[in-house]
Amino acid sequence: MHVRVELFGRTSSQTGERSVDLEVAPGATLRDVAKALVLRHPVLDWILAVCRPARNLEYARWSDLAAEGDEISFIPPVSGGCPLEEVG
Amino acid sequence: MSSPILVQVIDTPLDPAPLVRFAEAPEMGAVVTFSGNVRNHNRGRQVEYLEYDAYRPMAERQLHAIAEEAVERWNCRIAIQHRLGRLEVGEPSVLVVAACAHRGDAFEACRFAIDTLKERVPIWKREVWEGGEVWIEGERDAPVSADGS
Repeated sequence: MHVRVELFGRTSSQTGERSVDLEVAPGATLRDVAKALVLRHPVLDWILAVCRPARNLEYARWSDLAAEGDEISFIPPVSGGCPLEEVG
Repeated sequence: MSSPILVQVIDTPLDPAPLVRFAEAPEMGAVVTFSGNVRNHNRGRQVEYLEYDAYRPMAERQLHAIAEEAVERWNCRIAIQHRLGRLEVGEPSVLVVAACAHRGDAFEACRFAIDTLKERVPIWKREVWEGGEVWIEGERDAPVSADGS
């Protein structure tokens, strides 16, 4: 199935892209989508350790399932200076 | 009464005056304005300028959710604007204006909105100084380019 990953901030400056279209297997979780993105852009290998996933503009969990047509993103800590939250 | 919420992510200089006019209402006896401005120093560095980037549709949605929560909790009228792009030292990057019947609630609503914005809204700043640049990610400095520079 097809999902679109939106890139911004560091994920954008390190890849030179604003979005990436990915094909993932049905039943893929947001963690699986992140792994597929890292395969495409190995420079983003830090996202699983650092980011919170978001699905269709809302924060989500790594174990949440992706669905066909989803807009997914991986959100680094924002600039305000909050401590890292639980990212599992 | 008109909607109590105005939320915008914009690319042009910020001006508090129209936000104050939006928030004001006959029953609101207290109007608190917060302006977050670009500071000339950060973590021991002499900041030259900041470049803000956002996941814009999610940022707007999260800002709206914060404003709704503030209205729910403090019965306020509230306006929030965040600017993106290159900002020079001294320029405002974010404005929050909260209007309530009384000042205690207005201060609390304004404080809640800016604090929560800085935890939750997907907006980042790239800090540039003479000889270097980083993305500010929470407490961390993060490299801007793929080779770690």
